[in-house]
Amino acid sequence: MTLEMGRSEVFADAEAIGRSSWFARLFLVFVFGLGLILGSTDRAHATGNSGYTDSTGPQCAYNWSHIYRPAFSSTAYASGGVRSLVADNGSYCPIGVWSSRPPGYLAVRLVVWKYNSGREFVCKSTGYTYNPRSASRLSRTTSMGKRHNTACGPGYYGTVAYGYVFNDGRWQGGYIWSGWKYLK
Amino acid sequence: MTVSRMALMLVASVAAGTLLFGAVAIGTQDRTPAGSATLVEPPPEPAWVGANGTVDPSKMPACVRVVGSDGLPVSKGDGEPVCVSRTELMQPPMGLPPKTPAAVNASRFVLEGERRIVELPASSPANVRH
Repeated sequence: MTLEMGRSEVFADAEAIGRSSWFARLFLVFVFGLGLILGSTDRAHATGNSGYTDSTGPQCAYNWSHIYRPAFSSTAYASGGVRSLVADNGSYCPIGVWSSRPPGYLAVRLVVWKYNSGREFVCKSTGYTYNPRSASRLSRTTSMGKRHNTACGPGYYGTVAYGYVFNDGRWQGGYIWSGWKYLK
Repeated sequence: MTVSRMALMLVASVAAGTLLFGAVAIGTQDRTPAGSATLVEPPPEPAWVGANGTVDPSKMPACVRVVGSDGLPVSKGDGEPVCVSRTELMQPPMGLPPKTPAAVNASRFVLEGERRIVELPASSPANVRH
């Protein structure tokens, strides 16, 4: 009797160990799958750059430029934007505070380039768009078309995003390049 | 059905779903065409691009050529290539801000009016929130 009880305890332990082992394996599979998803989402498919295009004074402009295709999406996009900052406590940029600007004081434009036969061509260009309401940040996105029907055919694309802030009677800011990204 | 078995099935279902969606996500990535040696590696950055994506318009050609929806350079009827002047292409906004900026494509804009303290590095990776 004592021996049988001992055996059943051993079997129960073995079953518990086997179950926890399966849990551990499934957990690892889950983590791996989650990693695949997170590694494949939105910005993981993006090429882009960001930085200050004008930080010489107490007011500055921070710009960014991307080209990307979101995960699970057939459409690719080019995007870019600008943020207005003002230096905190009389210091100079880049240490600043987001600065809200009136309607029309932020401007963004995108020009999409395509690499073709050893040189760069303009594929698509938007006009300037302005913030319709007070804001410290303005971004713009433009469609690059769906897969196999990309705006200027398959190949490498890059975006130059123009971002400006109207400060003290002048447009302050500049442009930034995204880098190349292959679009089918 | 025991709770542990139900939990096991739940985890297994989530894992299978995660793997499936992960595989689909990877499958939707843009890849360079196989066997095309010239397109496997990205082309060099344009001559007018500097470190961290800075742009130097003075290094652009005076007239930049345009490519069409078919991927081929656009030409006029007489065969002369269509191009855009560098000055026109790199022009900042003109004049004063518009008094009533159009709210067209408003869904495409991201606006933030709040004022927050922020300290940004000189250049940040692409996945940061600007």
